[in-house]
Amino acid sequence: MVEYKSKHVFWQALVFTVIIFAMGLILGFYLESSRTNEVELRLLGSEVNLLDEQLRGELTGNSNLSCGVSVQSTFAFADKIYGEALKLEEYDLSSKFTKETLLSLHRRYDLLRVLLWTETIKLKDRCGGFHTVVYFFDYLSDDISVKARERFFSNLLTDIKERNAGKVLLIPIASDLDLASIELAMKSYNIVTSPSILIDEEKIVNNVITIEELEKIIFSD
Amino acid sequence: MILSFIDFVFFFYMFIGLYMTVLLLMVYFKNKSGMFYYPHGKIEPVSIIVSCYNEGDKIGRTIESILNLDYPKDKLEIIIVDDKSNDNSVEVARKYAAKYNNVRVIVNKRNSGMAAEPTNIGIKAAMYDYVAVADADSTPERDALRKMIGFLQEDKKVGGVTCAVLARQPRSFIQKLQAIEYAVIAWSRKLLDFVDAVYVTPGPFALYRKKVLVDVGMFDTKNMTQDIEIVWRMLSHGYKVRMCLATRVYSETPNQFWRWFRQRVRWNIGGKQCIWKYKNLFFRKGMLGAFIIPFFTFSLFLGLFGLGIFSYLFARRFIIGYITTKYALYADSTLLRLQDLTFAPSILNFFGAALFFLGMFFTIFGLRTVKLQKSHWGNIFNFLFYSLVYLTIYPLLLVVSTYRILRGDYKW
Repeated sequence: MVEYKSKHVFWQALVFTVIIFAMGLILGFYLESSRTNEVELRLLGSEVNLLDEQLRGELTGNSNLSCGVSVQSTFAFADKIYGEALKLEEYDLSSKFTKETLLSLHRRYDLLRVLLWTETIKLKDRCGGFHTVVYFFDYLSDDISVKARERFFSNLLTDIKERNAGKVLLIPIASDLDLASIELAMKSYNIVTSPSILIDEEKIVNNVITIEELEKIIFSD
Repeated sequence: MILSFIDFVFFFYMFIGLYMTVLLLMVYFKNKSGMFYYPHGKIEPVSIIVSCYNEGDKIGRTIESILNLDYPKDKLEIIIVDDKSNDNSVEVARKYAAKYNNVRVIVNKRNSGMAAEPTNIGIKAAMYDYVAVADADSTPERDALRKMIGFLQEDKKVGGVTCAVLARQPRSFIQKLQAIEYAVIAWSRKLLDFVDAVYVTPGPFALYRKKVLVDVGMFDTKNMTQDIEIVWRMLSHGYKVRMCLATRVYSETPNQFWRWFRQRVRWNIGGKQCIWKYKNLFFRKGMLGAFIIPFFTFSLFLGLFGLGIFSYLFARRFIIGYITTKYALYADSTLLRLQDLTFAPSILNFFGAALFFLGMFFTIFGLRTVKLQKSHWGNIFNFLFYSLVYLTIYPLLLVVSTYRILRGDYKW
């Protein structure tokens, strides 16, 4: 009779599986941590950039700076943090263990964008020649209709940005990350729903409109 | 670190999938040398019962393949039990009965619609202590009986023996996929044998001790998978069931998708009937209650639950995509951007990929062990289709079979 050597295989397989699984989880945790570190490093760099810009302005006196250079560097900076935020979003979507850390990085990015916005308002007053489009969206919402509208607005605004490069400065800001400055800004500009688009701190759009209609609203005085 | 419910569910599935694969692979490596073992038994008379319904075009071939077995003809009795066929099955069978004195034909008084009743008639009529049951469309290898009978003689507690069931001459695409599946199942069933967890003696060819069948009450005429139910009943009475990988039987497989689907739904209904019938044996009666019943129940639950989760996620994505598309078409804005397609793989994606490759490795290993001819499974596309698509249809079968059970539809 053949000797069956499988008496203990059930618990042995369990132990083996737990070990493999734990190794996988540790690797996953390590991978996510390295991604979080990468985002944090970029964020730090961007924060330093913005502070540097602010200080340069303070030290040299705003009027001495060329408008062209300031506007150009502001657009470049906005693009930079926009790209970084996309990366952060990509990592956030796939993260399982570092969600809270990534969320706090998100909040810092949003603060950075609010700072950029305030800088932009000043710059616009001084130099003009471009329009600010601030896009308020719900980052944490799970609501299907909200998500669908957000995806639509996100694509629509990217189209606007690409069609009017150098004329439209797009600043997306998450409205539901419990940040007092953002809540205050929304209140002061009478933004009550998300997603909403605030154009030049005056006009609010939150309904589905065509790309031409939005362009008309942005460029009408 | 707070995992969402969906993440937790995915991790749980990964763990279960990994555990089952690791378990079977460990069983394999521990028992590698005994994979094709069979005890050399002595020749004793065997009654072979072939239940048949409208198999006029196949029954002759099956009788001939049985007559052709490498077994003394005076030790063989072939009983064809016809379930009141509408075709010429009885006529064909009777021609053989007239020619060979060890072939008998019995015609059931009514069409029972299932295999159990004619098989039971055959068991009652059988003269010998060993009873083999064969499907009317199956062809056992010549050495089948010789290699299987020793399992029953070696251990008096063994009530039944099954062998590797492989697809007979697969031609169509769906048959080639089944050929892969049958080979992998044969291999895994042998692995389950090493942990006393063979849960079925498939209809194409199985050998039993007649006394055990009679003791446990023979095949359940109400169950749609009488070949699973009989094993559970034998196990619940303390008998064992063995698997012989050293020999094979070739069985006809459905050549069209809908036939395949109907067959699988029937198997599923039968499995559920078994779970319900033996629910009181959960965690009792050895491996039946400790592994087989929980395994069946758990698979059913995980399959349905997984399908539910998948449907929810799919529907959610679909609705979001639909609304976005509607808006984008109205606004004349971009529908899809490159950034929508790029994604950073998550730990779950890595786990999924690892598990998928482990599953492929398992399948390849199974095909190599069973030595399935390449012409039977075809090409790499068939293999990939089997791994990526074919197996994912199973949860759908669970839904259809559950629906049929709820409606009380137990048609064969």
